[in-house]
Amino acid sequence: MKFPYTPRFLEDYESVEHDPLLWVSFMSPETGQSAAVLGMIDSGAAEILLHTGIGEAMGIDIASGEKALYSGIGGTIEGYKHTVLMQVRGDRKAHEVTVSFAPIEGMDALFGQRGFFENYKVVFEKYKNQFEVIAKRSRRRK
Amino acid sequence: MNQDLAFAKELAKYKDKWVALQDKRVVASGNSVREVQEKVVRKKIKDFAFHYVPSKRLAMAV
Repeated sequence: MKFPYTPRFLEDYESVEHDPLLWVSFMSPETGQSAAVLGMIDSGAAEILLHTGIGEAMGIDIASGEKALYSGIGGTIEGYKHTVLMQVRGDRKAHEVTVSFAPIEGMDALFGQRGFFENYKVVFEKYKNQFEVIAKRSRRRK
Repeated sequence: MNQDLAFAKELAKYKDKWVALQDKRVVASGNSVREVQEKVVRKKIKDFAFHYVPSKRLAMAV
């Protein structure tokens, strides 16, 4: 599945940043509710981090999850882990993954190593402003 | 202006806000996910994605 980088104007309205944004749906098996988010693929992120508000929109009791601390450039934030089903737009298969809901400032979602890159190979072609998301093949029995 | 830049220009109207997107169309906006969700429920909008529109360059590592 090939996608274009998404251009975004920044403060000065002159400079344009191109980001690898992807439309991903999450469903909570606990509540049966789902929410989709257009978030950023981030190979530097250790796991899938979703803004707390996304979890609340799915009816999840955020604080009931396992607590985890995340350190970034802006400091340390507290998150809570939950198991959800993840489905990339355009992919028929959903994956059970652990995500953390945290009050990430100025950000909706980061799709990182655990959960996302475990299930998808991503080929970034920044020079073309496009990226490809390739689903991991399931092993076939001999 | 190509389609993607038109989308960027559309999003730029909602800097530092949460939006609900249907493909490349903003169908609701607000200061929080909850506010946007209330609007999409009221408007009976389906098949949308939440998105936060940043005004600054992002640098994040976890």
